[in-house]
Amino acid sequence: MLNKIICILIFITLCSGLNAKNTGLIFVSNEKTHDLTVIDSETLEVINSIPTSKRPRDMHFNQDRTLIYVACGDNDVIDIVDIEKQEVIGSLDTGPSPEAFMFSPDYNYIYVSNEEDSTLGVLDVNDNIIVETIPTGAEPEGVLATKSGKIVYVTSEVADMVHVVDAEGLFVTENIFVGTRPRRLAMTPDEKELWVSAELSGEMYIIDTSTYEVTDIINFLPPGFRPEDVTPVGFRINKEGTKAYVGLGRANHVGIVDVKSREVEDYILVGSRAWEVEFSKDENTLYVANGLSDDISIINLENNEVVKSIAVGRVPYKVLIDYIE
Amino acid sequence: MKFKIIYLILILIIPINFGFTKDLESVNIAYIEIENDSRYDPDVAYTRIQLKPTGRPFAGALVAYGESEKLFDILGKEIEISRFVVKDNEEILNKIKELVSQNTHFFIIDADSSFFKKIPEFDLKNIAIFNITEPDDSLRQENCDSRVFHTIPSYSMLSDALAQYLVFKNWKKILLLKGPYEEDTIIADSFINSSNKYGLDIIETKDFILSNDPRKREENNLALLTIGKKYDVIYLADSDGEFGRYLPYSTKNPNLVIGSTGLTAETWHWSFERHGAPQLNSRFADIDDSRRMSNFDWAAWAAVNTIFKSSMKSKSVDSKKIIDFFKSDKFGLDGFKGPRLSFRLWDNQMRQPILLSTHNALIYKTPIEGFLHEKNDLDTLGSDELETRCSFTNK
Repeated sequence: MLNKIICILIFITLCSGLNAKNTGLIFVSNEKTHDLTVIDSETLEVINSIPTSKRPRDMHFNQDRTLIYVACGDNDVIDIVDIEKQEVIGSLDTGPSPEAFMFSPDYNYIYVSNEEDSTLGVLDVNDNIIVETIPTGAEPEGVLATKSGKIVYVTSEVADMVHVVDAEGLFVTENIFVGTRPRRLAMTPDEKELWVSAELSGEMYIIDTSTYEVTDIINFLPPGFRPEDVTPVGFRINKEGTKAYVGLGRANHVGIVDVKSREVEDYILVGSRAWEVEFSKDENTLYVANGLSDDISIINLENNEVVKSIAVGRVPYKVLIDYIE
Repeated sequence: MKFKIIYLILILIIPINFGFTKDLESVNIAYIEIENDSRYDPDVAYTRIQLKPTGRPFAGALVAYGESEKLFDILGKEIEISRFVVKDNEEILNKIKELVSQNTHFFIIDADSSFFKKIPEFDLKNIAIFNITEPDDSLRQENCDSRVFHTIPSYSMLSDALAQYLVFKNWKKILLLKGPYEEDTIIADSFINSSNKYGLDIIETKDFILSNDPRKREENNLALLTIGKKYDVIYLADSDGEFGRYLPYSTKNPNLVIGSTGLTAETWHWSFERHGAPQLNSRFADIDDSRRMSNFDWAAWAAVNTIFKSSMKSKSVDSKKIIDFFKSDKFGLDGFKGPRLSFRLWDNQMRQPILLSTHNALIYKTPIEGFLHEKNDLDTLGSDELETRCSFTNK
């Protein structure tokens, strides 16, 4: 009996050892050097670079945070990176030019925008097959699944639209016109609002998810820039749903928005062409990928100051943090 | 007997329409080009190399059609582009008149200056005619017409772009080499204006000819043409191309050549990597992969998108509403060159960045940072509001 208990305890210990790596490492995808830069979040030193397939862009962890899935646009695959081994161990086939993607809440499916095919692809992660391709307007990009997994939103950059996709039937139920060149999506924690960045009209669109009407439009104007320079792309809303942090593209700043009042509270100067932003676990730090200065900026959100800029590979796209639980 | 009466009644009530009038809930575009247009003759040089490789820009129009198709499906409206090939300028005018009576109000015309100068002669209203290939500045000045819109840049925009670059690099002393054709004089004059505007110094202008006659060596010998007073850069005005392609590396001194060869001012470039350009080039390859997307293709694409996107955003198929929309400040086309593009209301020219390029790379996108304008930096390229000689008489 005791032996059995010991065996079970050892088994449980071994199992928990297979859980999240908690490495505290920061991964940056670099479009032109075709690799991920690996940075230690304590020392802020670059410790490694992991070669991937060509043109790595969007990245997401798997459910237990042992692997990173990376969409590689020029090879039409999603590479699978083992965090512990720090190397690619496999890949999934996608449609042409995958850019952004998201896991379904049960992690069995990946919804991926195939940029050059004007489709949203649905991949079965376990069997590595494309289950469905849903036609969208030209150049689909941002993909977002709701917490229930019942709805997937995808933007079409050229059609200036957000498509609302029924995730069970896999068809488009609604099309919402937004600003010029809509790129990324995020929801408030209560999922009552869907926010969409419109890169070329320099705006953030806020959509009421019960009516799919556009209720607000936020404009940005950091000091020293003209409206046409403001090209918002990536942004995050914090866990409390109180603040949004928006990468303003060629306006080289991050804009901080008070979600409730829609007011832009502050602008922080970062590097060149600030696109994707990412929080640390405690949301006291923001990491910004600066695509055209080949570096990332690290911002202390307690005083809104840039702590450090770290040189990474060429044309960094996104920052992913394997924070310690 | 009964049957015959029924047929008679049917014939009377079914409208017979030989003109195929278009459905009123659709946006129709007519694309008209000229058969045997000499501008598209592949110039066969001695070595059988094409000097002006370019296909017909209708392919660019098709790319834009493909982008809009799904949208209009969703809106429950129709869109159509019809292509017509005619013999000459006169036939283009007749075709336009015919099509207007059949509910087509938008025309994309691939023709040269001689056609556009005829437009003020005719009377049609609520139509928009797009110039997609002719850079002649006079069409934006004294020969302008309120119904004509230009998506292709003018010569002055192209030479201003190169002039900005010369100022930026501080290569201010220029040798201007000019060929024998009328178009060469137009190109050279445009650069002279840009040079005055930007404070460059054309230290000498020399006329060249394409010839091997030793008696005329002062005009045809590349070494002789390029000695003399000191200069930084050679500006070449050579619309034909056969002379210019041998000029770089044959000059007396190691000077760069810009203008008609070397560093050229382009509307679009196949190797452009920013602002989503590769995606547009890729969609073009889906339509025609035998060649790369050219300046004219982009201009056709921009014209079609201007019309379809304005219809979409103004939620209308009415031609007046569509035209009013793309003349308003609500209109901004994503031209995949960075900023949103719109039309200058004083001469109907689409304002846009000009790409300074070599054969395989974009060297600089203009306007160059630092060249400022009171309202829109794109207006540092080309003819500005205060200096325009265009006055639209028939609004």
